Amino acid sequence: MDRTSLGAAVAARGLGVAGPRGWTFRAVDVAAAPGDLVAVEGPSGSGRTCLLLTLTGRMRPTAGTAEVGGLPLPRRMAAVRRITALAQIAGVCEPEGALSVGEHLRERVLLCRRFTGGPRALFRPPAEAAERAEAALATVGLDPDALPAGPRTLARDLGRPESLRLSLALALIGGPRLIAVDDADLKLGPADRADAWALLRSVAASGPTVLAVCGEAPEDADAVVTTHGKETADAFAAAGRA
Amino acid sequence: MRSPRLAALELRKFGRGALPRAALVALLLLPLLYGALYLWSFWDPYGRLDKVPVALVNADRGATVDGKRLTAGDSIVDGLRDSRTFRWRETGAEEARKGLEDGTYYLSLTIPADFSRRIASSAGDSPETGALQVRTNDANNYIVGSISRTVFSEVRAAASRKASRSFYDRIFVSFSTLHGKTQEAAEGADKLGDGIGTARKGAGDLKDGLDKAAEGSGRLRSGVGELYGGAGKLDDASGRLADGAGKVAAGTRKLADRVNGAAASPDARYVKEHAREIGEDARKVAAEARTLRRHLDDLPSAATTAKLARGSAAGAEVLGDSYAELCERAAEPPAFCPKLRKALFAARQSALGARELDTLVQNRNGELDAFPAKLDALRSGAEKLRDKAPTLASEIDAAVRDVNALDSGAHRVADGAGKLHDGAGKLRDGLGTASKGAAGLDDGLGKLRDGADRLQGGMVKLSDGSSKLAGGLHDGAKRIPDYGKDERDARTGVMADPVGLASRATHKAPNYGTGFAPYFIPLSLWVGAMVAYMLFPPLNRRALAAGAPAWRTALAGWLPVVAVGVLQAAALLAVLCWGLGLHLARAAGTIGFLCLVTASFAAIVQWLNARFGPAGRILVLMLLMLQLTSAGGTYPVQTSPGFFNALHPFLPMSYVVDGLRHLITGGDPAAVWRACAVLAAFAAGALALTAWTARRRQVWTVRDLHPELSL
Repeated sequence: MDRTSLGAAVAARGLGVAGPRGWTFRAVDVAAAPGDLVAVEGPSGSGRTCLLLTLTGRMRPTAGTAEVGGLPLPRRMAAVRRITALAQIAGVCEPEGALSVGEHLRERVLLCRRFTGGPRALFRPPAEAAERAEAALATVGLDPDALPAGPRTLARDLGRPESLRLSLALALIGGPRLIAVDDADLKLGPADRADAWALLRSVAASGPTVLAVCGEAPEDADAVVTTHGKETADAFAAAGRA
Repeated sequence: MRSPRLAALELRKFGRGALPRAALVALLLLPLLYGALYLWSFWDPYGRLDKVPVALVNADRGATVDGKRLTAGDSIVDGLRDSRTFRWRETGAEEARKGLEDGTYYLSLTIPADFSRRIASSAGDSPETGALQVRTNDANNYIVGSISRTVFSEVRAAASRKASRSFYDRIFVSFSTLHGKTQEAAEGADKLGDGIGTARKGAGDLKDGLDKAAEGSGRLRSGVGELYGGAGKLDDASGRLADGAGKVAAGTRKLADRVNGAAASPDARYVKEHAREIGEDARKVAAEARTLRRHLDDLPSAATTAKLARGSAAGAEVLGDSYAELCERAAEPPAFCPKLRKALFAARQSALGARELDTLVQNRNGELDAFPAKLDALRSGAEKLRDKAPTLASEIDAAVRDVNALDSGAHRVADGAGKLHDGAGKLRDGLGTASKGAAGLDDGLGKLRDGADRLQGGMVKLSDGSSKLAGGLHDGAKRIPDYGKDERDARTGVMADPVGLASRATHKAPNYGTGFAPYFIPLSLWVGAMVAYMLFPPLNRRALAAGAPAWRTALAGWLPVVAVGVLQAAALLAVLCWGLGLHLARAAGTIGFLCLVTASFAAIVQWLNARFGPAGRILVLMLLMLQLTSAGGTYPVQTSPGFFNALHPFLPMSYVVDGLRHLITGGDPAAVWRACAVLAAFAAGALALTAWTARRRQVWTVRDLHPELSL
């Protein structure tokens, strides 16, 4: 079953993405084993989000090579997308404030591909989608009934930690081997930040490899990838040339 | 069926909070602003033209025609006021001009001072057209100018119609008079024909009579000729008779002298001696008497003269009758009468002569009858004398007595023969005159008959000619129209307005609003879809991020807007039908069609927004303007420049307008089916493109994350 499938190994060398105004990030190396919690560290605007999108097959790399779960990028981008999921990523994938937690879960279930996982999936009973949602909620430790308005609590009424949990739960419903989380520690106090990392660690422990962007990498991260801002990258390049 | 449930979740967002709900309601009502509000303001402008103030200047002074007062201007004013085409304000010329200039009046109609006079001139010697003057001011309103041209062409036609009707009516009345007079002429010609027929018959009778007269006169002429010839012979014979009788008398005188001398002389010897001479003389006498007798037989018989007398009398009588009939009884005696009269006179003369001759021949008191017997006796006496001459001497005395008796008898015969000869001469002369007269009569009658013949020929021609004349006049009278009042009215009506315009609009739109609803409904639905995609995301970001199937993403973004669009269409249609009174020829069809329109428009707008992002909204607006200008919703698209005609078949709104027209005002549903097919194709095509876009947009670019433009 997908849930029990192993996380995807991530390996990248010299990865870079160029935008209309030059390199967003450049010369990034990643090496992560399945089930690792990878912290992506760097200042805001240093191309962290783009790196997440690139490693999940959702952005075409301009330079370098990468392999996710044994699938080469950018050649197998579509396949990589299927085994990866995005949790919260600003401007790309965020919970809709006007929808409730229950509606988000329902929506995510509806968005799942019907025929993933081979012919066996055809015979999967429909109820299993709900079961997967339950399991995902259990993994992230979110109990909708404990929320102020139960499952009808609107996403915009959720606190930052609950919002993160919800995003992770939604991502987990697709049964991904790699989950990308943006701004994992943004606007969190030290305690909440520790909780967040613990949450991410537990998600990683449940199977999928977790890529988490943060301002500052925790000590227990399995791997740390550092992105540098544009200037840094340019400086890097200049240094390399020199 | 996951897409509808996703769409339902999309819609559910608008149930959260007052502002989203208000936005959704505004979105539903937005098409009303574009469709209903506009159509409401222009719903029936042509039905409310009587609210448009216009100036009416009636300067017409009127005219007098055939003693009747004609005020054509007033009747036009009355007609205009009744017609309620505009709000007519009767003003003076100066005020009208000023009002038109400053916008008080949208136009001014002036009936000129000589309008009636010009109308009346149509029946006079120098016809002139009456002219109405219309002034408009496009600075006030352009449309009123073009409307007024239509209205006034009606007014002008009505006024012309009225004027020409009275004109034609007068013509028809003249025709009727002409018809009556021609009818009278035809009847006169009929009577003339009858009279000529009678004359022709009389001429025939005249000719027959003259034929008979000529025949009679011919017979008379030949009779008189014969008579004349007979009289000549009679004269000759009587001459010879007289001569003979004279000679006989002379002989008998000599005989008597000698006998008396002999008898007186006692010389019997002398008688004896001269007995042979006496016997010789007696033999001569006997011979002469025989000759005379023979001559006497040559005289015409009494039967011949009687026949002659009868014939000439009959001829004269016939001629007399003819004369009486032709000349005396006729009202106007023909020119030949005097000649005929002369001929008649001659005929009567000859008849008289013939009778005298007859009378003469008939015995002349028995003298002539006794004549041959006496001659016979003379001869036998002479023969006796001849025989008895030898014994004469003895019988001298007796002989002397006999000779004296013979002598006196011979003298009396000679006298009678002389008288006869005289009479025969007179008869011959008379008959000569009669013969000449009879010849003249016959010639005259011949000429008369020729004349009568020609007269009859002329009469036949006259009769033929007069019957042709009468026939022609009757035909002519039949062809000249003679109409009664009703018929005249009907005909003048047609002639005054011979070309009617049977304008029958199939599937007529009752007002301006109905006519333009097919244009404004798709406009408002397009705007509705355009604004809907400002509130709804064309593609759900979470779906893109989750890598959901592209079709499902596309449908999930399309269906909520289709649902909103259907509600928009329902609201619009409800307001148009129940609020403004739009009548739908095919209500159910229109509702279904509008759903398809909404679906198609939503798909197109969705794709443009999904594919081009913020720039797509501008493209949607551009596409709207292109469709509005090329759909042919107001003027036919053929009146637009070639650019719009080229664009027309490639844009969906062209088909929507076409289809809606046939649904709202009725008509051939083929256009609707074609529009359905085109719209379905556009919807399917746009959805396919959207799905393709959804698939592409599962891969982000740096530009997506940091857009250079946002609307």
